[in-house]
Amino acid sequence: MLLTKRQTLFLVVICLLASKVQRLPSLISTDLGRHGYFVFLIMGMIDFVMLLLCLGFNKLAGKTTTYELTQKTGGAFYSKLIFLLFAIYFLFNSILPYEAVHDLFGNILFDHLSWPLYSVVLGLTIFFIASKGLKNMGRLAEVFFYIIVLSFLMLLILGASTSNLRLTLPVCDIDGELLVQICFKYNIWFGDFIIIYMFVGKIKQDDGSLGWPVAVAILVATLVLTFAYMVFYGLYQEISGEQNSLISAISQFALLGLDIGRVDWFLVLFFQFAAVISSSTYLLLASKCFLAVFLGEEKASDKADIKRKKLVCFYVVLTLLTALIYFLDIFIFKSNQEGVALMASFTKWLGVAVVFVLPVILLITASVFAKKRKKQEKNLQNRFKNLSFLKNSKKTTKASVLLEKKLRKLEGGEK
Amino acid sequence: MKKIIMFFKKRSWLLILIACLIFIPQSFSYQAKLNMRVVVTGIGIDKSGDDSYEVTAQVIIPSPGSESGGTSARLDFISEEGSSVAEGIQKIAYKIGKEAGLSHTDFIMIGETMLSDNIVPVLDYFARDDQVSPALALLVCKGKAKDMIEKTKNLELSVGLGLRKVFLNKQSSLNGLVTPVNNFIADSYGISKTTLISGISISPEGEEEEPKESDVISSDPSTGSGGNSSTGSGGTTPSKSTSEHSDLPGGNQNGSSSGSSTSGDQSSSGSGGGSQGGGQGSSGGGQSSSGGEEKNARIKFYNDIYYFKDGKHVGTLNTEEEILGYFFQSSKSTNGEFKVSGVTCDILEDATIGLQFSNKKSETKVSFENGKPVLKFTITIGSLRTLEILNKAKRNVFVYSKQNKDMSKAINKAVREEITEDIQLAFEKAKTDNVDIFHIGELAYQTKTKEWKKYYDEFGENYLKDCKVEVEVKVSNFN
Amino acid sequence: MPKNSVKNEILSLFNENADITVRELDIQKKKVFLFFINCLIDSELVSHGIVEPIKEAENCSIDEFEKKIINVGNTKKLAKQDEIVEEVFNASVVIAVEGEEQYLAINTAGFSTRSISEPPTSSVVRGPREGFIEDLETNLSLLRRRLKTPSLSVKRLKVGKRTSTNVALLYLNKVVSPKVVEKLEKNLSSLDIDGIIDSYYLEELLEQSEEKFFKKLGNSEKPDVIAARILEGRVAIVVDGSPIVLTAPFVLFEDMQSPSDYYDIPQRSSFVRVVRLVGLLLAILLPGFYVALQSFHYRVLPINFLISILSSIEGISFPPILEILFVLFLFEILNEASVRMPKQLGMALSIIGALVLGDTAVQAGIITPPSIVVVAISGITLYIIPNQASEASLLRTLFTIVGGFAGFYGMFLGFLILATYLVSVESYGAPYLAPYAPSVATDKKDGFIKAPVGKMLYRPKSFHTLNSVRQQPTNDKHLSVKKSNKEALLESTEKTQNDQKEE
Repeated sequence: MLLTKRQTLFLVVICLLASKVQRLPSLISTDLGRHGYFVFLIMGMIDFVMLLLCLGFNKLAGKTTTYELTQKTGGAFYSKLIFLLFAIYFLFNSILPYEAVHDLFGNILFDHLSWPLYSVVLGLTIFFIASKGLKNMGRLAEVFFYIIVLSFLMLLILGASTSNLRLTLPVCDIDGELLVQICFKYNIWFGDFIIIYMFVGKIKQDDGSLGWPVAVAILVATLVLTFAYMVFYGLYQEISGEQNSLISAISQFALLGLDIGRVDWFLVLFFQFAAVISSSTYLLLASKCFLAVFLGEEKASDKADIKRKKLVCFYVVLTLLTALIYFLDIFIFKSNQEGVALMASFTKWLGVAVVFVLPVILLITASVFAKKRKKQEKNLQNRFKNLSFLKNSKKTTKASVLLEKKLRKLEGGEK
Repeated sequence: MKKIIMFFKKRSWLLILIACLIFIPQSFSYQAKLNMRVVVTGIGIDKSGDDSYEVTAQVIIPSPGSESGGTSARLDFISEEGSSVAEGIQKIAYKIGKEAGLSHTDFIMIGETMLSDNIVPVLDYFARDDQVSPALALLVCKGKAKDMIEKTKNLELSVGLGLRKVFLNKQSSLNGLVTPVNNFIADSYGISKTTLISGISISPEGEEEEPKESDVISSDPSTGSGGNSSTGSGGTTPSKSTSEHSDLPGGNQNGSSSGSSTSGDQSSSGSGGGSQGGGQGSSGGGQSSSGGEEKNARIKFYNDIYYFKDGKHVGTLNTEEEILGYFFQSSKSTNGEFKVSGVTCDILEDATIGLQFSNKKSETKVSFENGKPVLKFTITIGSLRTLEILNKAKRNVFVYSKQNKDMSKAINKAVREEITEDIQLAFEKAKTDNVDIFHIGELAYQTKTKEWKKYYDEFGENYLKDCKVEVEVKVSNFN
Repeated sequence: MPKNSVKNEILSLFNENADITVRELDIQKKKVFLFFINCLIDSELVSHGIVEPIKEAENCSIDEFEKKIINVGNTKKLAKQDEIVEEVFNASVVIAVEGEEQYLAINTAGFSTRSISEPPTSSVVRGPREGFIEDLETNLSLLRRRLKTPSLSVKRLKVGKRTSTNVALLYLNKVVSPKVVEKLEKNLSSLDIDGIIDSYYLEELLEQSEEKFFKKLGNSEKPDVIAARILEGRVAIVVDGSPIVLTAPFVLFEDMQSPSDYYDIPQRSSFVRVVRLVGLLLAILLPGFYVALQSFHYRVLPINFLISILSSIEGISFPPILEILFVLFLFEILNEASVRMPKQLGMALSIIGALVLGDTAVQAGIITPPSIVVVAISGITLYIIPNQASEASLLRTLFTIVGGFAGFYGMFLGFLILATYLVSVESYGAPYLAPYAPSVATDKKDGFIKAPVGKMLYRPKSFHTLNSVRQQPTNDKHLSVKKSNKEALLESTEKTQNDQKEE
């Protein structure tokens, strides 16, 4: 078991916050203006509903990983297809916070900076963090979670103190069609709960379930993000679309700067830890997914040479993906509105497939798997009962020993 | 693969060396190099021709080897012309030979010559530049911005550098307005398309007369000298802090006023401090002037409010009543002092009452009566205190009884009438110019969307014609 | 057999020039030889306690000597001649009787040792002031006096081919994780080194990873601290010749704790721990931040401070990074010089340091006043956690360089990389950043917010001890001790075994 429930929760919240308060609000405000917060609200609610399906999947899967489950139920091709979708989805989600870091340092904090050169360091950093694995990612999330959340809240408070929230009114006068369009266009930014599928079977729990903390966290985060957008729009109104990033713009009007300098920049920096952690997490998951697609079973086996081979492949895939992210950021996205909007335009269907369709399919798959497993258990139990007379006679056959082992395995005992 | 990894592991020092050789020389070119940079703390913009602008930069020239920051630096002013603001700033940088750093720019002063045209395109540079704070304050001055900005050298250094903070303090006490450049631009595209900018007027008293100990403070703020009118609203109501200094000469008033301004007392900063733009309270900056340099300039107490529509200047609230009327309805002004005249009751006869209020709250509501928008202000004054009573009765009447209900009633009534009248004056003035200074359109759209849309479809840009303003004043606690 | 063959045989085990003293006695027509090193033994004790009784012995045999004649020190029979060398070098007198195959070693250590005093880096206002010294036996006695329990196991080993340094492993049996003991024993036994002079040698050699920057073993000079750590389920490694005792496993947070925290009110201890953390971060990051602010991010500074900096750098030709590195270097020189210089010159150096750095250098335009303030704060806070001073000092220089060349960006990524590395490190099964990463709720009671002693019911769970219950709650009745399944199983197994034994 690699992660605790707490670490899972922290990772989900960090990934959730990291990309949504960067460029996304500016993009939305260009189209929807004062009603842009509806996008956060609606997509948040959809995420919440889909999360419930995900949690259901997690409960049905128990200690089986997603790959195992899909493979056992639908076959290798089915599982590889799902993981391919996951891989591409995670890859794009890794670029978003990477681009946000680029924007903050390349465009805002430094007067001049050769980003193609300095970006190499960022690429190496996310590679290094991702290479440490899921267990250490969880621990890293625990170290930085409170710093990230506190800085975000403090920035929000600084912004809210000078923002005119009334400018987000009225609630009713909204173009519904446009709203749906925008939700569809930017859906790739949402759906962070999908990472839970990669943690299924790896969470330290008696029954492997996550429970309500994640659901509550997503609900609360949705509300906070909605409020953050309202604060952002209340500050910048019609020219919100001109701002690069919500998180760096929201505290610009704070009166704190008049006395003690722009300490809010430190808060922005602390928050940006979330962007790097989130980018690394997605990169790691993308690598694992690609590895699963090309090499089959993602879990390392007991044999040392296979273990080493998989490790080498993991590093190769990780390196290639990091390089890809680097090149995409430098040459395609270039950290500007057009680049990011371009990405949004060709990833919307991918987002729909992964966030809206896959959870339903996976839940059905998990139900089928659970039924199968129950049936198998019952069969084994019956067969074992028939052999129980042997136990009483203090004689054990090889078959009964094997059956007992199989039964225990199904019940989630020793492997 | 293993060999490659081992090769690099053994030679990791080589990789580090290569990385250093690549990054270190590059990084030197990206450094800010503070000694090759000049910090611009204020900008003035005037129109110098059809398509050219004169940009004046207020820059800090630090003195070498100083021990404390604020007093050892001095302000300098550099002007250049350009076809745009950006070009003007660039030329200034070339002139100085250093890079212009706009990150600490505090205010933009717009000269009168700019007001004939739409100023939004001119300010576009400041909205787009990431270096520039979107919160920097806009100010309008009569005459040339270049002349006015140069007068800031006669103010206390911290005041001259921190005009935004000065006006923020003034804003909370009925005599100043801070319009961030971003808000100005955003509001120009809003529903009301109206924005307001505070005027600024600085008069260096040192040019008119030498400061003497026996100098009496001028009581009329509207003459523009402003400075000694630390008595606030009209000279008849000395504020608590400035009454302590009312007999002090201008020169000493620097130190004492800065002292009072750093005390952080809102009311003193509103009145006494206001005359010097005090209340700056900034750390290390509020020190009295060093050496023999006299800083005699004063910022005018009540500054005109310029209103713009679609980025163009349309009119000005320039009387005390109009200015007060605007600030009374503003939720940002929470305390201050004003006077009411002509108060009569059993013991008062045509009395002028000086009053101080605090915890003022202003709520606005838009409703539609007969299809026409009515803006209702509900102004709640948390605490109202009588500062002085100048009774014109022929005999000496005892006016110190707080139990005199008639007097309280009369004063309360006068306060309500005064506030209502001032707000109406401000509104009517702007209405004649078809400028929605109270943002009725925006408020109506926010809260009564359907009715507003119907009304707007009918009247369009002239929606202000049938708008009305109602004022309700409540006083919670009166002393 | 030629005369004195035993003597020659034994002497041949030693180097020709070894300072071995041989005393020959004739008892009951048999030759008795005493081998010892004069500077190690207590001469009086040997004379009165060994030689005189032997002279009066009726029977001349090792058995007789051991059981009836010798009445001083620890005696040990030696069967092999190889053991003689070890015993003689460990301040024992070895008695050999002509014709006998056995030998008798009697411990008569009489070399001078330092007296027990308060350690210089761990002084407390309240609490024990004893500190370890260089003698292993004395150190063991200090621990024994505090842990009067039969479950305290002491495993002795010898490390070092030429030094044969005695090393003792102390731990609580049935509490400590057996894997840790096993690993340590294995690592110690497999060491093939010339000699161990100080416990630091072992500290490096016992680290499981190649990277040696962050230590993986704890250390302390105080017996009360070591006793407390043993009680928490750690293994203490006492090295003869070193006053520093090592402990394993180690978590980084240990260095944030100070002995005085446990002898003061918990609120004060919590506050001081937070101060230590802030101090450590200031020490490491402040110079880097200052350089980054001045080099790249001056817009973060308030205008008055910016004016102050602009005024102070006017005329200074060095970039901020070089200035700070120069001042840091000067401080390191002062540091080193003050440790080594004679006390009589200390005053003079302080004056030179203060005048030169504080005044003259600023006036000469070499450095600016803010840089001195920054480095001074960093220098003082560096020693807020003395055990981490070396690492913090190097990290400080690294972050300063990074801040100077890559600003906040470099420091931001550097901090992340450092944090990532630290979370991935483990020390003998314990995560380095426990109890915060991974989060262990019970361990956090002795974290930044220190709970009262009565509420710390469990041993640190990061150490995977066999028995995690420290105490039963006495005052708070709502507190109940929960045992893990493993512990409950172990207890019930023990109970069953005990019952079976009784039967």
